Amino acid sequence: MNAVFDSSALSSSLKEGLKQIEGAQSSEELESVHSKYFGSQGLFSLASKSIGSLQKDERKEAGEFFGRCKKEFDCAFLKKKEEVEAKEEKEKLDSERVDMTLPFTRFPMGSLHPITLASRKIEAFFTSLGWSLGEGPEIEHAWYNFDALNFPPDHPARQMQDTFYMSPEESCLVLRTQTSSTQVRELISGPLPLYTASIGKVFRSDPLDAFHSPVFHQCEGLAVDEGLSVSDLKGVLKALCAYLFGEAEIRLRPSYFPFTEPSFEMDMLFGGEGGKWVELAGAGMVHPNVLKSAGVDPEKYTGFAFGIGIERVAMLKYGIKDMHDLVEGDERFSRQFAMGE
Amino acid sequence: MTVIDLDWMKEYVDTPAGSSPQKIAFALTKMGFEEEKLSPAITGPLVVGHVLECVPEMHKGHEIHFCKIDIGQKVEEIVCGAPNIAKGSWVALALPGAVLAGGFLILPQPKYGHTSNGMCCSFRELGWKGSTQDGIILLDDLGQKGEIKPGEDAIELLKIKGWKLDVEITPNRGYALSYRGMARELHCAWGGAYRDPALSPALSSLPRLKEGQIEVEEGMEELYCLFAARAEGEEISKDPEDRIFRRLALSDVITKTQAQAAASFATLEIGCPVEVMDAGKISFPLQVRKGKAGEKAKILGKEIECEGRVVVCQKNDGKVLSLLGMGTASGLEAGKGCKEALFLSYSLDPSYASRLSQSLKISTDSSYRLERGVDSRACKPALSRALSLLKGCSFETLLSLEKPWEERVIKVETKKAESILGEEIPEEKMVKELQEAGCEVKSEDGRLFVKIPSWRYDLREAVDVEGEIGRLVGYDLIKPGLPENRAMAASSPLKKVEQKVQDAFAYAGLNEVTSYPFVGEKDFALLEESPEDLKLMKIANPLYDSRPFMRTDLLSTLLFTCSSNVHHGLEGVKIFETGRVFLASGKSWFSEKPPRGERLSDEKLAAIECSLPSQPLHAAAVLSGKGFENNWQNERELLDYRDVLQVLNRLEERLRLKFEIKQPASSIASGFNSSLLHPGRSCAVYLKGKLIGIAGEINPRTIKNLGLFDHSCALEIDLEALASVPKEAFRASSPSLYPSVKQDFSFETGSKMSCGELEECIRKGAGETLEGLELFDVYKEEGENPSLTFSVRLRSKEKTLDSQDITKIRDSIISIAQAAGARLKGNC
Repeated sequence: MNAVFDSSALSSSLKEGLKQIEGAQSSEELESVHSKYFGSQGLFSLASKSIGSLQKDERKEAGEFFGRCKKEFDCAFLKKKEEVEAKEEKEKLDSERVDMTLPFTRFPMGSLHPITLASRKIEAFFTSLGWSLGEGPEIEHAWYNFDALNFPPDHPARQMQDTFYMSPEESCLVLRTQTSSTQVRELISGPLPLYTASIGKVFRSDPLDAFHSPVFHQCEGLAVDEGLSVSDLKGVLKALCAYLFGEAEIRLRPSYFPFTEPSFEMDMLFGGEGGKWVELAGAGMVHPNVLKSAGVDPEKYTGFAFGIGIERVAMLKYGIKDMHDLVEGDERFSRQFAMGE
Repeated sequence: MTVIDLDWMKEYVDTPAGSSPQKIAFALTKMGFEEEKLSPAITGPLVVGHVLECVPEMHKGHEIHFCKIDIGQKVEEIVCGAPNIAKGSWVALALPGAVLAGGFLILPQPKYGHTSNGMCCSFRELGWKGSTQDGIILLDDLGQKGEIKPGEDAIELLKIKGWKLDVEITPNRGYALSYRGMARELHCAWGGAYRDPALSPALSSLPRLKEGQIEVEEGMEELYCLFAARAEGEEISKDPEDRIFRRLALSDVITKTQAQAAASFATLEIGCPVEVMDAGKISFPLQVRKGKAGEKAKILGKEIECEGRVVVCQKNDGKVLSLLGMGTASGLEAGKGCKEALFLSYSLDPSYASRLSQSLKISTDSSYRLERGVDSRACKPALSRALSLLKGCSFETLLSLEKPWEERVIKVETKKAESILGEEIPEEKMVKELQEAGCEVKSEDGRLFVKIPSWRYDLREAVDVEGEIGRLVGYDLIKPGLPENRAMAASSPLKKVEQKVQDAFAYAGLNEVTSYPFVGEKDFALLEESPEDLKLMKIANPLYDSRPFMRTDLLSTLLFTCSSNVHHGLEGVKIFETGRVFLASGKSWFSEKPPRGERLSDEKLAAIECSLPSQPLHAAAVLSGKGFENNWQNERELLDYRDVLQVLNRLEERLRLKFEIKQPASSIASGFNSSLLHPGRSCAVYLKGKLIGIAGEINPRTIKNLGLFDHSCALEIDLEALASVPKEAFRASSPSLYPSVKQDFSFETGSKMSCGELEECIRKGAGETLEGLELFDVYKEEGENPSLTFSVRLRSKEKTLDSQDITKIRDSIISIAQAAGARLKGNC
């Protein structure tokens, strides 16, 4: 049997419902209020169904009345729902609060050694000029380390670099004293013109102190072409220093290496005007005898070469005061260079 | 000579007005003589002191004074041995930190039961006066008149200001080891008038020759010249004359007698070695000859074999008086009481002098000069200079031997010089500069004919003169250019691989370090290694006797670096290194000494390559202790094999490669030492079937020996082997949009089957449709082989996989796995 539409009962249900909505404290309570009135046996559901049993002329009025009541209920419900959910969300978020200052477990990023960083920077410079990057053995034959580089036999120049000799003596093997030993190798193996740089370890039997290490790194640059001059050498070194340290003033100071003539030390003015001249590289025009050792005609080709101390570059660039830091393998020192400068 | 007294140098060259010591140092640096240190000749604190107390004390028959001296701010306790000090004296007191003449550093010193906090100076100690017997400087007159105060600067007061400059002289510039040479360089730099002391008319001749006193053996090619003279008189053994003493002292040379001072003065001034000995202890006539078998000389306290070496000896008994190139025999010094002196001045073939010094491992002032080249034509004036400083003595020349000087004229094309320097230089400027350096120059049709002076051993070929022109003109004038690179750059595959490996390790949380490649017996013992198993290369002259070998693998040194970090108190160490290892080749040596400036034949170059050891580039990593920071949420405390495998994974990802892991790590392969690793927790790493490395936990005994944390782990990779494996070029692909299918497989592995091998079976079976493979369960009952359950995600790039496709793939996976020894336990 169909229920009879009773507008006054609907009115009081609405009043009661609005009261219950207002009194709800949680979404759960609110939903149960909604079910009570709009569930299958809810008062509003039943009232809606009962409209159909009214006379046609009564239906319109009852329908409009029902609509108003429902609208009022829905409005109150939605408003309350928003309010309760906001409250609940706030409570939930509050309950999820953590102490953000608690340390978290982490597997930190590692680091590259400053020698690697400085080397890569220098390599990037030469690669950008289109130079090739070369390699050479660290245990080297004396012919490449001395003879081919025009070191006169018995000359004190051979003692300029305190050499480690390998045993037995007749092996004529040494730990290379400079990366220049790769010069003749490059010239013999490479076609001309040649523009190449190689970075590697070199060895001198100097004890370790704040400024020297028996094992250190050099970058050897070598260019052999027709018509190269001291001016070209100066330009490349100046550009390199500018690349590494910003705008740089350099000077070529006369020096002596058997494998270059003329020979220089290259100093850079560190700290701008009133600063200090710091020695950064040995350099010079490749000696004709070195070219001849590699079978290159010195009448046709000239070349320049230079050797840059990587430790010196790293020390200046990163403000490192003591060589011990660079060579002793203390992880705490390396960590400062986490994946870059 | 590396120490220059600037005032002495100025006796030979005029300097512009107002030229400061700093400007002189700068000018010489630009000429190629690098300033090491510029300092006042006397460095304070040297202050006026007033003696408040002076208590005489006797110590072993020697009277000293224990004094309390007021220096203004405080009172210092000083022990003074001078007889002329007394209470109330005003003295010049050098305080700790002061450096006096001869480089004498003042420090607090225990003396006669007291601590002396300084020294009361005599003029001699300040390089001023030739006698200690005069006692200390007394400033009593000034003190009593109140003109000085305790603590006042005594350097200023005594007007003993001067400057000395330490310079580095390169081995090619032996001529600059003298005031004569250095003054000429300053003349070249600034153009001020130069007075060559060797050309002084007063030094052009020697006294009358007395024949028959010294015989010279025929055929001694090494001996370029030798002059000898005898002096007799009181002056010889007197204290050095003030002026001479001061000059020498400020050049860091201290002498006891005038004869010694005369020899040293002549050497420093002109550059030729001048020796002096007590002629009263010598029996004439003498011989200059090659030493005979068994002949010895004691020089600088060492017994030296003289056979085959040029000696001056007594004719009657063969007693060696001087080994030329080294110095005078001990016991013949022209010291106090010497009445007659024999002076020698000489020059030798630099190669001979160098071989002599190297074979004896002795370097003396004479050998240092001679191996760098001594001007033979200046030896006579040098001897004459030494004699000129002995007033009132009688002289006779005993030998005047001089080989004819071979003049060298070098032809230089001016255009070639310009093209080498990259700068236009007027010919007349080239000529002028070379003349100022002492060359005689004739110019003709764009060529210079340069007569090289006798002191310039370094100018031998045209290229040397071209360089010299640049040096004299000044390299500052040369404008920097940048050459156009006409060559094509070729990248180095090894360098690329090294960089990627370094990056991968650093991204995996490892820190790069360096270690020296030297190892020794003690290291082998700690690492539990047998040196006989290693292909060791030995250094003949190691820096550290305990480590004379080159490492054969990187872990042998990196493990010690790790150990030292642990000993620094680090609780977790994660380090890596790239570097070369050295493996003796055992091939034949190449011992020929080919001439300079000649290309070796291809056969000889190949022989050199054959003689080199193998020296591949490796990378290694060691992980020890805690791996995580603030590990309060994590159960795992210590790094172990899983972490080193994780590093390998990072490497695979960075290199876009897939390694094959095989257990156990093989026994020692070249360059890897798997005995360093735990036999059950280590593996060999392969790439396309090629062994490229090892990884795993470190052997517990090694861990204990080195004090590392338990489960410490390591890996080592041969980067050259890695770079040599051909790699396909990377090509990106679009992700498939067809649906995926998930299948689970549970297999019981065979007794010898590893998880990796089973995984490989699944990969093969699934082929290109495999999109994901995840092990999600390992179950093992006691006594049984483990069961591994994998979740496999399949997806085709061409179509939606239907049931037929899936069955085919599933069957393929199962059959490959079963063929490899696994048993299917379930599939869904």
